Amino acid sequence: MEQVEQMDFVEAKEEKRKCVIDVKNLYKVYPLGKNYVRALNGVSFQIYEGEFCAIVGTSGSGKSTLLNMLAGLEKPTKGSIMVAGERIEKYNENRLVKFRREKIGFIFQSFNLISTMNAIENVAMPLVFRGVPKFIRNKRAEKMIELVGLKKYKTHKPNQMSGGQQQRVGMARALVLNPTIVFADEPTGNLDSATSEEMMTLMRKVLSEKNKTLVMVTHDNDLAALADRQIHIKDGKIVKIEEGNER
Amino acid sequence: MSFLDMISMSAGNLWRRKLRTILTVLGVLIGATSIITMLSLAIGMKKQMLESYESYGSITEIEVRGGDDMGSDGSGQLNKDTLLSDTNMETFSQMEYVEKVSPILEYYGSTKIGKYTGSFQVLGVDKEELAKQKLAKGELPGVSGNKLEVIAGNSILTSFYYMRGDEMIGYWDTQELPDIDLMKQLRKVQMYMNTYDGSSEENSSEENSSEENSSEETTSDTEGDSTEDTSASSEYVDPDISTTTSTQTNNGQIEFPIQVTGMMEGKVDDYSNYSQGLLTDIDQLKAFLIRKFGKNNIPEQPKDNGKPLNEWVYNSFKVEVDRSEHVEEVQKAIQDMGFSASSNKDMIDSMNSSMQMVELVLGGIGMVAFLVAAIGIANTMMMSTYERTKEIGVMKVLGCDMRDIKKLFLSEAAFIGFVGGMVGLFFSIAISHVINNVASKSVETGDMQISLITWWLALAAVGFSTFMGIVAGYFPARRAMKLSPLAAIRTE
Ligand SMILES: Nc1ncnc2c1ncn2[C@@H]1O[C@H](COP(=O)(O)OP(=O)(O)O)[C@@H](O)[C@H]1O
Ligand SMILES: [Mg+2]
Repeated sequence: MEQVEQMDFVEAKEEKRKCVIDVKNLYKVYPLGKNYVRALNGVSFQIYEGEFCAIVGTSGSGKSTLLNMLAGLEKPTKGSIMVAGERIEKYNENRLVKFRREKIGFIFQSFNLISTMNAIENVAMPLVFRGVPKFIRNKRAEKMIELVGLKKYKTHKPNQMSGGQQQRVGMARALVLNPTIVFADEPTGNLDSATSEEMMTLMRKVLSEKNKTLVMVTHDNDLAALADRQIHIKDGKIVKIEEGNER
Repeated sequence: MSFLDMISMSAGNLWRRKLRTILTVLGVLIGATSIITMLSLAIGMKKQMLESYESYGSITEIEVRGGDDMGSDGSGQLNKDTLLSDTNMETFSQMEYVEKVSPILEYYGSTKIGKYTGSFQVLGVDKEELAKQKLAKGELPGVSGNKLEVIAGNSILTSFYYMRGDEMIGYWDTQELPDIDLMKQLRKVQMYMNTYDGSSEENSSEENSSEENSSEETTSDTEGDSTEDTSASSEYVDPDISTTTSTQTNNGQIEFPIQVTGMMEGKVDDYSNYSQGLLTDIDQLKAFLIRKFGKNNIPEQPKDNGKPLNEWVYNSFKVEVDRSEHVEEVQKAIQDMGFSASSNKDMIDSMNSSMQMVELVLGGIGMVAFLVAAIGIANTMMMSTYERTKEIGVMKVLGCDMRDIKKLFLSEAAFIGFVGGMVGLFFSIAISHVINNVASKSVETGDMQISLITWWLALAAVGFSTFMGIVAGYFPARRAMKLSPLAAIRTE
């Protein structure tokens, strides 16, 4: 009974919230020799502004495939994707790059910092692609680095930092362009559990402060439990959508 | 992405792989050096050849001499069609492609200064031609009064000689120049003359001497054994002829009072059209002749049945054509009119075609090294795209424009080409110096520029090297541009 009421409440709340991701009937089929792999097999869901949403599933279930398509890194075989007000499924590569540059932040599992650049330069990278002058972009990058608590490591190169620190730089880099949505594919996959916890807490804090939408892929149920909502995937299909703890 | 970021980023990428970059640049450097050095040799050699030809006259110039019998048909009747007269000069200047016709009046003569005798031409040329001459000292002739004002050619002293017994001793025997200051010591010149007197008596006896006088360096050479084939002068120094002429002083020799106002620039054995003569303004020469001999009695001017013509007749014309491609046509037309005409065209043409071969061969050799260097650039850039696949993927995920990625790789390749070309240019300049130094030691004059790097060669070489870099980097850059952003996500 209580649960039903709560559901109604949530529903009503969602009505008012802005929908930033709207996926309808999404398919992705990979050719594999003479056979086909249905990585995504008809997926539909919405994600709302400011939400922290986890995509959960076992390895090979199609989580990354889904995330990549949301971030405009890959094209769907079939279906429509609306992200941050743009219908991206028909976009060509150039247009997708522009879309990412303007609306998307991305956090990688393996950090993917440029090894020759220090923390500030790494964080400032996306601003370089936008043509922001050096003086301004360094200032903004410094601010972001302070936000993720790496004030002392501004001029450190990636190999002079721990994994957790590197991922925080990665987070700062994803946020520096002030994106509408941040995507993260197993952001703690390369970190130990204590650091992972720390990382998740920080991520939640920073993102909710800025009212950003976060979509995170993970196979770890404990981490997924921290999200507002969990989308469970199995064999390319959504098996259940679970509301988690309220903010 | 701003241009500055692009440059600093590509430079940074190159610097990341220092050794590989330096090795690739080294390849370009060798290629650029080889092509610049080869072409500098071709250019230098061509210039040397052209210069040596230029001393014989310009390549757009045709020299016109009279017809076979210089207008006389043996009967005392003048054939005016092939006479180098004012009328025909006007005809030539009306021809297509002809820009200018300048007449030349020539007299031959000799003079005695101390124990030396010298013989040479006195040439009247137009003012422009005279003004072109560079002087070592003195000045150009002004208005001639009683004396004909002239400038003296740079090698005129080589035609002075003295007698020791039966032997004539001159510069070509001793390599010593007589100590004569022509500007002070040359006062007069005895001219050899043949008057085109239509009157019968003198005609026959004169024909012989005139033939001998005007046909350059032919008949008398055998008699003057000791003299080298130096010039027209040797004919007149021949004792035989001087005796003949002395017997007919009354009509064969006429004295010109002369003032040398300047000496032409150049070494004593540098040959040019005027190096062995006395040069003056043709208008001054005409005025001088009229003043001295009277309008109707000018020496060397032909007469028609004993009557003087009412126009000047010259010894040769210089016909200036607008472009060297037209020389042949004009020359042919003039020859068809019955004149004898010659030009440097054929010589220049054959030189040009053989130089083209040399250029092609040398350039080809240089090009091979350059091509190898270009492949080196392509290889390096290709390696770089493989190495940086992940990084490029990350850049694309973070929103780096595809065109920017392409430009980034192209500018790296261009950078290698540019630096290689630049350093190669400095290398080539050094090598060019060495080549010229070695070559200069092998010639007497001590100055031999067989390798010449013109500013446009330098510019073209660096530009071409950069361009080559861009071409070589094109496919790697395309590959980088088309790499999938997913490369960033795949974990190996
Ligand atoms: N590029 C590809 N080519 C062929 N099959 C692929 C490709 N990418 C993913 N797959 C397949 O699609 C399925 C889903 O993969 P993925 O989305 O990476 O799973 P997850 O991230 O949940 O572990 C897997 O079976 C995988 O083998
Ligand atoms: Mg995955």
